[in-house]
Amino acid sequence: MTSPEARQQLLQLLLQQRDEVQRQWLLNLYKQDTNWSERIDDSALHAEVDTFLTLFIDALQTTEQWDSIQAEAFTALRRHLIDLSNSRVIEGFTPSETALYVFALKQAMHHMAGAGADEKTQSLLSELLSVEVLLDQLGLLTVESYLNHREALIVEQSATILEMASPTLLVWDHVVLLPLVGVIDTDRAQVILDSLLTAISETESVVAILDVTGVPVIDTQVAKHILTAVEGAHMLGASVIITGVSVETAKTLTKLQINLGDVITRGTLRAGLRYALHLVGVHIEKNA
Amino acid sequence: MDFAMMRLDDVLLAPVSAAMDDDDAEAFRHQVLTEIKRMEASGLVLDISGLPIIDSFLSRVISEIATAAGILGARCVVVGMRPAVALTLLQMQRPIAGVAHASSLVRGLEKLRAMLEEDA
Amino acid sequence: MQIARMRLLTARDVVTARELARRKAQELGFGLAKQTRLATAISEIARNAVVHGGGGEMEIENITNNRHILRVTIRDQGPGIHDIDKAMQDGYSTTGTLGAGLPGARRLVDAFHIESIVGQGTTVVMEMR
Repeated sequence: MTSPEARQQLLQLLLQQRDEVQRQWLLNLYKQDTNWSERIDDSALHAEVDTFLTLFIDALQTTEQWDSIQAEAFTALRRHLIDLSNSRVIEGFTPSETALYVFALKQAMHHMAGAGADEKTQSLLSELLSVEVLLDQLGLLTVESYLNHREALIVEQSATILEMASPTLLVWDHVVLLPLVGVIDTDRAQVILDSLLTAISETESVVAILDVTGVPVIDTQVAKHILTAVEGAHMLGASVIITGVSVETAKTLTKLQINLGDVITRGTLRAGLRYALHLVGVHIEKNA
Repeated sequence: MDFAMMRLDDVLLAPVSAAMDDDDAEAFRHQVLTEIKRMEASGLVLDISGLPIIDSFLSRVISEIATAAGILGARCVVVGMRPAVALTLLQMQRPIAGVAHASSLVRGLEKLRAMLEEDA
Repeated sequence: MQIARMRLLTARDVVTARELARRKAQELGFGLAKQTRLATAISEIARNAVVHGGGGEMEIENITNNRHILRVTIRDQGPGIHDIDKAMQDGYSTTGTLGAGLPGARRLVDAFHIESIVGQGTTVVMEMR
């Protein structure tokens, strides 16, 4: 049951006690297991708390609708919290730690509301608060479990996609082909290297063709991955031919002064295949 | 420790055993080189397919055996490195370079023959 | 939870230690590539403990936190390392060995921590996730 009088009373109290609420909130934060003082600059945390309270009080003064943060009045506060959460992700805080930041204000508000009450009401409020904190933690447990499970699924799915994106084809006896498509970052390079070496070993290939026609950019980093693949293939007894090098890539490589050493390269897959067959001693002739 | 080795014409075939510790590796090196000199081998095939791991010590011993064999007049091919071992050496940034490799014994003997023909 | 522990006194113990760790990693469901990387890193560090540290011990722990983490601790009571930063660089060696041991091992594992006190010994902690 809400009454306009009680609401006004609470708002007045909050306006009067703002500094004390802010102080209590920070105190509560520093009591948490999160170790705020080591992970975030003190002045930055104070500024965040201050901004939040300003926007919060503004919103409460603007609207009568205190039952949903979707109300127009809460727009600025919502935006502030979304930005804050995003930076918490980057700073490595967990979802629970991020939420407990806000929950700590709730305790400060309880503290404020209970200050003038008689002893009996105060102890009841204090017990109620304990139960609320427990329920908050239980709620957060469900969020954490949900996120952890979803993250595990995503990791699994990306691994599957990575593997699917790196097929190996035995195009001739002892000649294996890897058509590379898409951007090659460090994770993908590792998967490609793994498939390359496994394929060479399983097929006893002596030549491996890496076709980079579908790779949009070959920069210093990608070139390094390619050189590593060449070294790896060599240890399993296979030569590597890089095919499908575009004119743009050839220009970039020379401009960046990237030295592909004595890696065999060909402009087209066809030219590379012809050279691979030559290496395994196959000569193809047209029927007379 | 005595290591089992096989002679194929003028080629010495030496499998590296999985359970080899550092002391055994030294004994192995000595036995391989002694045998190359005794039989005047022109080729050495080091079969490392039995090795589940190669650390920096073993990788150095393998390269050094290949080099020393060369000094004694035998060309060397290292055969059968497992993909997981190759990946590990790359990750350590210590690939076994400067040595001829082949995926299997058969491919290795082919490669050795080609190298010897080139020399002749 | 500790799942294995052994003394490192001889060259033979280095082989036993890396095989033991490989088996434990396999039991916990680590793939072949990770088993191989972990065993290789242990081989490097266990050899240091035997050759330079006058012997030591290895402890393997399984830390379960969503997924398995294998933590391997290798410690010795040897002379210790004077300059760890330098020892972590490629090509550095105190006794004429290759010097690839420490930097190589570090590149193989997901977490690597080394502590050394001159005159008291060296402890290396490695984790695989």
